[in-house]
Formats: sequence, structure tokens, C-alpha cells
Amino acid sequence: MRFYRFWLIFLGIGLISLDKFSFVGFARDYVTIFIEKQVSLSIYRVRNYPLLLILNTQQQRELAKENADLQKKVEQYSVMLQQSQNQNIEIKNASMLKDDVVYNNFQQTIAKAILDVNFFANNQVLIDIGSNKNINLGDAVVNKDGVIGQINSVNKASAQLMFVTNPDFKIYLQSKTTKAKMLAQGGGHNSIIVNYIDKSDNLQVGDILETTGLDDTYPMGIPVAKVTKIFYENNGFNNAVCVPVVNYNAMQYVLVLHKE
Amino acid sequence: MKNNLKYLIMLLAAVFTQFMVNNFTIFYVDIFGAVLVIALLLGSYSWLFLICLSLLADLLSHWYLGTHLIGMVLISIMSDKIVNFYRISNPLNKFVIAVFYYLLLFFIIVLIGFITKKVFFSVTSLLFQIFVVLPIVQLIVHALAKKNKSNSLFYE
Repeated sequence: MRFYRFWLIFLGIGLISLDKFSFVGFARDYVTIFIEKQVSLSIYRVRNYPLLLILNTQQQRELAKENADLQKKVEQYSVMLQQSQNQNIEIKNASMLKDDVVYNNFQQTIAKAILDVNFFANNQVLIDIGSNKNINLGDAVVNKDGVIGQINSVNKASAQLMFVTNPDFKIYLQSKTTKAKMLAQGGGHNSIIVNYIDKSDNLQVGDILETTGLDDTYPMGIPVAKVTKIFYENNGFNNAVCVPVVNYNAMQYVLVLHKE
Repeated sequence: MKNNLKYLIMLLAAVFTQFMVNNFTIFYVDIFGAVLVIALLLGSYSWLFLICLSLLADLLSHWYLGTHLIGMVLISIMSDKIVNFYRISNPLNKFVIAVFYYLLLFFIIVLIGFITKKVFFSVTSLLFQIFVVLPIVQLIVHALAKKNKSNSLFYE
């Protein structure tokens, strides 16, 4: 038995040395600390479960609110981005018109359309330039699609533009295919009325009506309206209802033409 | 097999209790040291059991592996001669003897800690161990040991 005790003491000293001078001690400490940490954490969670639950609920509510706000902002920014992109396209298109040979005899100015109550009620729109940029009464206003209208009121830094659909607006047109001349008048509600069309003019639904160039206001061959309906009147002429080729709702930048 | 299961349950309970007391109270107790001392004094346990117990005691606490083993071997030299006296003593004497041997084991462990520069000493913990942990462990180990065959033969 004494023999065993002797070796057991040696074994003990060996184990102490092994534990002190090798990785075993570090491993033991690491495992112990890990277990203690996990147990402490578990006890903390069990103790504070109701509190954590309430906190989580509050945090979730706050996060939901924040999320809703962020979504609103994202929507706003996406709309602004879309508008910005559209503006860039419009400016590019308007700038491209400057190089068009058709407009060579005209002084051209790019203007921004500002939608106000007149746009919705009176077939008119405000633009952000006026007499300061040499804008005059009666100047033609176009964009890449065609004729938009004419300046009917000028201020120092703004001007009022009357659409071709305005009932006070009249314009001399010709058929793109037959070149038959006719007088058109705004019909309101996004329509243009053409009266007294000669039956021999052979106007068809879908024909494009363009400017004649006979007046000094518009260059020749700019599209204005598209025929949607033709009907016979008792006076022996045909009448036509047309829609403008320009989509006013998508309009942001316009080109003002001033005869030099 | 039935006794082994009881010892296993007791050891698991000791592991749990020691872990909880050492980590979540101001005391640092050595329940396995107490079990070791009582087992030595009862003298009816195999060396393998005692060695495993001493290694387990080191493994589950901050002492170096082998500390309890050396302490157990050293006090076993003196405890061999008192085993029979311990068995016939009354509970108070048993407690006093257990405290003496436990203090001896504690002294050896502290000495080894001092040599290896990893010493931990707390008077409140020592008092708590002597007056709370040791009597409880003594009662439990005695209750389990009475079921042992050698003890049954001795008492009968």
C-alpha cells in the first residue's frame, strides 16, 4: 500500500505540473469560463424574461414605426428620382430640338412648365421664364411630340401658355398626307375641333394634322393633333374631332419659339 | 448497481451544488473534498473510487489537477489508524474527527496552492464549509454507506 501511495503522490505532482505548464490549464479555464458565462446568461434571461419580453415588444413597435417612416421616405425619394429622370429626358429632348433644321429661323428658349390651377381648369400652364428671357406674347411653344400652344400672357419672370385645346385658341393646320388646309379650334377637355372640312379633302380617322408654316408663329410640319372622329354636318361640310399629339400630363420642359 | 446509481446521483447533486454555490454566492466551497474526507474515514471505499473523486474535485474547481489526490494520499496515511475508532464514535465525535481531517486536507491544498502560486483562501468560506457543508455531506455519505455490504456485516 505504501508503494501505491508513493506513486500516487508522484502522479499528483505530475498532474499539477501538466496542468500548470501545458495547454490543459488554459483549456480548463476556457471551458470553465464558457460554462459560467452561459449559465449566468441563462439565469439572467430566466430572471428577466418578462422585462425582456416587454422590451422586445416596445422595440418591435418602435422598429415597425421606424420602418413605416422609412418606407414613406423611400416612396418620396423614388418619386423624386423618377421626376428627376423624366426632367433629364425632357431637357435632353428639348435640347435636341434646337438642332432641328425646322427651327432654324426661330430663337429657341427652354422653359420649365409649372402646373397650377390653370392647368387643370383652364387649359393653360405657367412657365418659369418671361420677358427677362425675351419671351413675347404669341410665341409658339413646342416639345418633341409637337405643338403645345401659344404664349398668351407675359410677366417679367414668368409667362402663361395656352394649350391648343383651349377654346380660345385657333390654329391653321394641314393634313399631313393630303396637305388640305383647315382651321382648328380648341374644344376643351383635351380635344380640338375642326369645322368646315371640304368633303374632297378626304380626311381619315387617324390622320395627323400639322402646322402649315403660313403664319409666322409656327414652323411648317410640326404635328398638332390626331383625328379621332369625322362626321357630316347639315351645311355640307365635314367636321372632325381631334386629340392633341402632346401628352400634357407628362410635360415638364417646353421649347419656346420666337420668330427672329 | 443500485448503490452505484445512488452514488452517481449524489455526485451529480454535488457537482450542481458546488457549481451554483461557487459561482452565484460569496462562498467558495469544496464539497468533493468533504466527501473525500468522510469516505476515507469510513474506510469502506475502493482506491479507484477515491482517486476518481479527487480528480473530479480538481476538475470542477480552480485547483490544479492532482492537488486533491496528493492531499487525499497524505491524509490517508493518518486516517487508516482511526477508521475503526471513527465507526464506533458518536455523531459529535465523528463531526470533530471529520473537521480535523478536513482542516488537514484544506491545509495541504492551501500549501500546494501556495507553492504553485495559485492560492485562494477565505475564512468565511472555510467556516461555511466546516459548519454547513461538512455536516450535511457527512449525513448523506453515512446514509449511503450504511447500505453497503461491508458496513452491514460490521453493524450486524
